[in-house]
Amino acid sequence: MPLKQYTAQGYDAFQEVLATIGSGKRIVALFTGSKNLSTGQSWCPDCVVAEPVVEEVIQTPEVAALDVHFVTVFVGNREVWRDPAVGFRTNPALKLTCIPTLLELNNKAKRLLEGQVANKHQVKEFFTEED
Amino acid sequence: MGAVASRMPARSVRSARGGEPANKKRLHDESEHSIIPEENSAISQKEALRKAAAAKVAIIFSGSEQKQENLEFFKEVEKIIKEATPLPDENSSETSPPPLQIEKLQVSQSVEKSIKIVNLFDSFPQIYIKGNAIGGLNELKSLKIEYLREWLRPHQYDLIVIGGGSGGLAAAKEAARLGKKVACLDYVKPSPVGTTWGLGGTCVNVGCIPKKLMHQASLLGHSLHDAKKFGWKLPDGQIEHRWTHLKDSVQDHIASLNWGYRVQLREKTVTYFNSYGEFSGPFEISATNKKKKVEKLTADRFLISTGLRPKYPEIPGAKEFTITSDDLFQLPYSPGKTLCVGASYVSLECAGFLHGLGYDVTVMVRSILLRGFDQDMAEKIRKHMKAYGLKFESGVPSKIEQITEKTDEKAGLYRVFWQKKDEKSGNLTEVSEDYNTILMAIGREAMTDDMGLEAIGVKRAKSKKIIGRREQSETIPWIYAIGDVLEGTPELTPVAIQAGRVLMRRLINGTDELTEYDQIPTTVFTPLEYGCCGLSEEDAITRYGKESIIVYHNVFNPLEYTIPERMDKDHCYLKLICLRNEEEKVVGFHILSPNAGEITQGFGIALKLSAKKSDFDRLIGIHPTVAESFTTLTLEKKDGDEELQASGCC
Repeated sequence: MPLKQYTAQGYDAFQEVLATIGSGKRIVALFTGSKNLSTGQSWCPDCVVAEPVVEEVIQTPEVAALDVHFVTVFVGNREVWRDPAVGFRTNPALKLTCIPTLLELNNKAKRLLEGQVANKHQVKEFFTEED
Repeated sequence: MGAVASRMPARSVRSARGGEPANKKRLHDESEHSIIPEENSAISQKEALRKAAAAKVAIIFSGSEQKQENLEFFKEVEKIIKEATPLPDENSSETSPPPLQIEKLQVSQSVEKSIKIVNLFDSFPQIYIKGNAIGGLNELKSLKIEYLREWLRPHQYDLIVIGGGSGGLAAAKEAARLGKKVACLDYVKPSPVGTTWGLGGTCVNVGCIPKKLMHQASLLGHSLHDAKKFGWKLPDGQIEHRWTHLKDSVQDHIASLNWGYRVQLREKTVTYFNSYGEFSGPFEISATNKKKKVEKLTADRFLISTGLRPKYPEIPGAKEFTITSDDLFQLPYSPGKTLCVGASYVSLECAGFLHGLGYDVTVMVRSILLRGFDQDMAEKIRKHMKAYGLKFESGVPSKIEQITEKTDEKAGLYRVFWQKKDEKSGNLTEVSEDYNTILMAIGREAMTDDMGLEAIGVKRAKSKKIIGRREQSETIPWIYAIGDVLEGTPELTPVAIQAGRVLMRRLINGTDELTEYDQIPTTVFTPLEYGCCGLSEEDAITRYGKESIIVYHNVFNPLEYTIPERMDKDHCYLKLICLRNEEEKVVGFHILSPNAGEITQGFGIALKLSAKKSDFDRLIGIHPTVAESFTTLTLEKKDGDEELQASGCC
C-alpha cells in the first residue's frame, strides 16, 4: 500500500488519527508548529525550514510507494507548546522536547530533531532504511 | 598492566628525541633547514609527508637527487611501476596512457631518521603508493605484480572500514571529515543464543556502556541502604530490584546510541552497509546483508576493526546452556542464581553487579584473577569481593547439563560439573552445582577466519588478530587494523578511537602523529573499583629489578563510608611504584576505591608528564577526598610488613 497522509491539529486530534489508523501499522509523525490563521506562517522558524523538505521527500517515488502512514501534527501555538504538561511532552510514547521532530511510533530511539529534519538525505533515509 | 604492544615503540615520535616529553618542539621544525650543502633543496618533514600522502606514487629520499644510489633506486622503481601501470582497454581507441609521474621528495638526514620511526621501516629511500608507505625496493618487489596493477587502478571508495565499533566509526568519520569517500560495514553475527545488536560495536552494545550502567544500578542499591544511616526515612519493606526494568532502560539508551551513530554517519556522508564484509579480491569486498544479497565494493584502502567475540570452552553443554556478555545485557528474564566462569575483568565486573543487584553469584576461577594486571591488587579485589558476599570456586567446568529449560520469561536450571580439589588430601573429586544462569567469560577472540584474509595474504597471529607495523598490516600495505583486532595493543575503546583518528590524519594529511600505546590509564569496575596507570609491581620488577623499585602505599577510609559502616572502607588501598635511580619517577599508579575511574583519569596526566614522587608530594590535596591520599604518601612497602590499618584523616 502506498504512503497515506494525515493531518492533526493538536494533541487530541492526533490521538483520534492514531485510532483511525489502528494498530500494527508503520506510523511516522512530523510534529511542527501550528500556522497563524491570518498570516499562514508558523511561529516556529525551524519548522518553516523543515516542512517543505519533508513534503518533498514524501513526494519522491521511492517514499510515496512505502507502506507507511505519515501524520503531520500541528502542536498548537507557542503557549500550548511551552506548557510542560502538554500531552506531547508527557506522553511516554512521544516525550517531545523540541519541534520540529520527525519520529516513528513504537520505535523509541528513531527520531530526527530540529536541524536534522531540514536535511533531505537524513529524512529520506529515515523513511527508506530497513532495520 | 594488560597487554602492551610489542611492536610499538614505547614513546611517540615527539618524545623519542632527547627523551624529554615536556619538550614542545615538534620532532622536526618545519622552518628548520639543514646546513649541509647537498641538502639545500631538501623539503621539511611536514611537506614531504603531506606530498607523499597525496601522490599516486612517491619516493622520499635523502642526499642529492643525482647521487648514484638514488638514481639507481629511482630507475628500479620506475621500471616496476611502468610494468604495473594499467594497460589501455582493448576496445578503446586510446593510445598508451601517459607514464605515471613519480613524486620525488628530498629530505635531510635528520628527517630521514624521523620518517623511519614514523613508518617503522629501516631502509631509505622509502616508497609510497597512493599515500601508503610500503618500505623500500625489497618490499616493492615482493608485491605481486597483479596486485600492484590493481592498486594503481581507480576504485569506488577511498576507504572501506569493516567493523562499525569504537575504532571503525571514529576512523570512518575522521576520514570523511578529511574529504575522503568512505564506506563503513557493520554486521553482528548472532550469538549462539541468538542475540544481536545495532551499530556501535561491543562497547556501546555489549560492553562498557551497559556494564557501567548496571554497575551503577548495583551501587545505587547500596546507596539506598546507606541513605537510612544518613537520616533518610525510606518506605517500609524490602528494597527490591526489578531486572527487566533495568534491562529495558539500558537497552533504550543503547538504541538511542545506535540511532545516533546512524544519523552521524549520514551527516558525515559515510556510506553505511549493514552487511558482512569479506575480501573477494585484494581491493574488493563482498558485502552480504541480512537478506543474503551480495554487493561488491572496491577501495584504495581498507581498515579492519572487527573487534572480538566471547570464547566458549569445548565442553558438552557450553554453547547450548550458557550465555556470555553478548547476551547478559539483553536477558529477558531475571538471571537468578548465577555462575560466572572466568577471572578476568568481564567475569568479575558482571559477577560484581549481579551480586549487588541481589543475586546469588559464584565466580569460577581456573588459576589467577585479572591476568596481566598487578596481582597484589587482584588479590585485594578477591578479598573485597569475598567479604562483599560473592563466592569463589577454583576449577574449570567439565560439562553442563540442563535440568529445566529456560523460557522467554524465566531462567532455566543447569547443572555444572567440575573437578574439585580436596583441601587436605589434594584429591580431585567431581562435584556439581545447579545454577539458573551460567555466564562464560573465559576470554575473547578475533573472528577473522571468514574474511578472506588468508587468500590475499594478510598475516595474522596465532590469536587470529592482525599483525601490524603500527596499524598497517605487516604483509599487505593497503590494509590497516585498529582496536581489539590489532595484535599487541590494549583492548580498550579509547585506544581504538585514538588510533583510528590519528591513523586517518597520518595517512590522509601526512602528519607524523602516532598513537602512544603505553601508560594508558584504565579501570576495572568491580564493586570496589580498581584504577591503574603504568606498570604493575611485577612488570616494574621485571623491567628494572627489585632493588630499583620503591613502592609507596597506604590504606584509607572514604569519609562517606564511615557513617553507614560500610565494609568496603577496610579494603581501600593505593600505591605508587617509583624508580629509585631516576629521582623516584612514578612508573605505576594503582588505587582500589570508589570512583577509581575518575581519579585515575586525572592522575594519568602525571605519568604522561613523567612525574616524580616529589611532584606528588608538593601537590596539595583536596580535603576530604580519597584521592588526596596520593599527596601524602610516606609509607614504603617492605616485605614482611603486616597488613596496614587505616587511620584518621591526618
